[in-house]
Amino acid sequence: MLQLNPVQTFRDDFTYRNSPSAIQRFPFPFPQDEYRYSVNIEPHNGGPAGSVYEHWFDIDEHYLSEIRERAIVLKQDPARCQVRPHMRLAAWDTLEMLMEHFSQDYPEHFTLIRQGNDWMWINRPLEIEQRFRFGDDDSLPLAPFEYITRQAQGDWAMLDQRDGDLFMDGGIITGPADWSLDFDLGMSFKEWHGPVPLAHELGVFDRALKYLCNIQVDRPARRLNWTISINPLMDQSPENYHAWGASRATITPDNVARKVHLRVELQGLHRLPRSHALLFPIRTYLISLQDLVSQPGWGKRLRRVLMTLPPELVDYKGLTRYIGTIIDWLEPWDRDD
Amino acid sequence: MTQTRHRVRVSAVARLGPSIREIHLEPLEGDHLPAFSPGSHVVMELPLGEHVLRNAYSLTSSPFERSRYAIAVRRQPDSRGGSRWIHDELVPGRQLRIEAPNNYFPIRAPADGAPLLLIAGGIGITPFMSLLRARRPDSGPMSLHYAFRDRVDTAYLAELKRLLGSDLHTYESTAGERLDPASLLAAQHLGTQVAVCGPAAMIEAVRAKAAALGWPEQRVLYERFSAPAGGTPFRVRLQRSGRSIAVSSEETLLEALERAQVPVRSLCRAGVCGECRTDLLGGEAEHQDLFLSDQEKTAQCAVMPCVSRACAGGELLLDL
Repeated sequence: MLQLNPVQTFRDDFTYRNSPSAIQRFPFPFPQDEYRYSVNIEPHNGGPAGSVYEHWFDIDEHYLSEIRERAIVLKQDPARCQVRPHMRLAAWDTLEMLMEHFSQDYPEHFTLIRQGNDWMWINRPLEIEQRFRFGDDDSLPLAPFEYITRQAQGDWAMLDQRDGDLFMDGGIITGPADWSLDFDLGMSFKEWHGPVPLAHELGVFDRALKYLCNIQVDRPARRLNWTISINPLMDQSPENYHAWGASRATITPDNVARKVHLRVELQGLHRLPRSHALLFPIRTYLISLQDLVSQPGWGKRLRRVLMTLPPELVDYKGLTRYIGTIIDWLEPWDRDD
Repeated sequence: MTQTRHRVRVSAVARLGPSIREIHLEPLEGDHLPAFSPGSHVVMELPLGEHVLRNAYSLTSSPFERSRYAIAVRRQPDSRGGSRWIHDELVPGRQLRIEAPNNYFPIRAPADGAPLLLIAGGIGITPFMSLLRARRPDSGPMSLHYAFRDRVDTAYLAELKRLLGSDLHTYESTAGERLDPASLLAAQHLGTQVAVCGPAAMIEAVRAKAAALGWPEQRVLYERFSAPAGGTPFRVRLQRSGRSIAVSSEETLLEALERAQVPVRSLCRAGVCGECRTDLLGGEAEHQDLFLSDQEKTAQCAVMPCVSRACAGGELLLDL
């Protein structure tokens, strides 16, 4: 049974910590020593028991902390959750998909009871018991998308599919790695990927778009994405730049192990059955360098990837000021014994 | 990798015309079937004697109806047995297996409020039925142009009249009525979304006219109502295993590979999804798919075994 930690913080005093089992199941994203650009999309049809890939939507010990962090961000800035009016059906699709999978995969924490369109949802960790009518917005205390994603870890976007393209037409983005839903809302696939260096020229986005438009119901896909964060700061958004931008200048050989975190996103792509939109969960995992090097081979691998990262990507990921400090600190793990 | 399968029971067989049957399927387990979007199809397993035929059929029921699915099947004179079996053998109570719905023909009204123009040829009406049966007053402007041979043996005419009223336009060829894609498209509003399903010639005529009129490609959606099932027999050699397999005129390359127990991932079985893409190491393929780019087809570097075959008299060498 999944044990949930008491609430920890992703801000101010940063009490967020990974347990030994959370470190072991961390989705370490580098399959080889050299950095290589690739589409790296694969079917998301389960994985080893206990791994982050076991279920469609991973819930872990940080559940309560992330739910509270999301509520804090939304209170300060309600524009982090926006759904365009034509995504109403997709929102109900999302609610159904999350309730079905949470209750099937974590029955000790969640229960869904359905009689026709009369549903009851039980979320024990958050002490919620909600009766509602499926499809009736007025029967829930919040709009359906916000209602369910406030009870789910990770950020969520809904991508409308039309004219052979995908459009960012809804989402709840409270823990992004330097992007803004408010800015991207309504953009097409290539528009919101506009700032990504190198990949456009390689044709990566043409191939990816074709693949994504053909994803079918019950056949989700996933990919990993990564960057580096200073402190376990979930809300690394442009809106919040004042709170984290300057922290990039604070890394020293003495604090690098504690403050620098590898930030990995497990991104899913799920076809929503009625609306034919795509649901795009972005589940973020954070691990400090000192915890990371406790796993055999990870320190060496990370160092070699950083050493071969093209300069354009060093800039894009915001690592310019401190990548050298990380590479120097990891040096002892990259020796041949 | 295979698709989730669902066990269903035939709950009713309705006669829509002398050679068209509508089959109703209800779930054997649970009280509802998976939700789907307009334009979706299911692959149904048909137990024909010794082997199982896997045929794709558009869902014709409303997506809001979860307690049953409906499909409509026309008896094909050149059938490989599938439509004949459905017409002659399939009776209420029979149990079957279907795969979860897929959608490679997502029909919807344009988000900008432009009209939706539907063009159906014969049994190509089927993928439109799920959209039209779920139509609501606020669904936006749409019209259906429906061409068929003769009124008596045509599916859903009365129902479509009720659903669409004056937005239904019919063309009965035995009465000398012809659907002319050129004049139809030329009369449309700028930005109209067209969706066409019917014989290959009809689809090609619509695509060519839309292109000539300068319509954006994205506003032309099409689906062939049946994947090319057979053709001239040929042989295929497999580079890695060294095997040689005969593909008969009655089966697709994918089916021949499956029969020989060569694992090939597949999904849509209609040349759309790209799942069964296989590297072509030798020989010339007659490409029938909608997935590979023109450059890839010309280079003969890959083939989609679900729909494509060897050029006449040829042999293919696959990286399998």
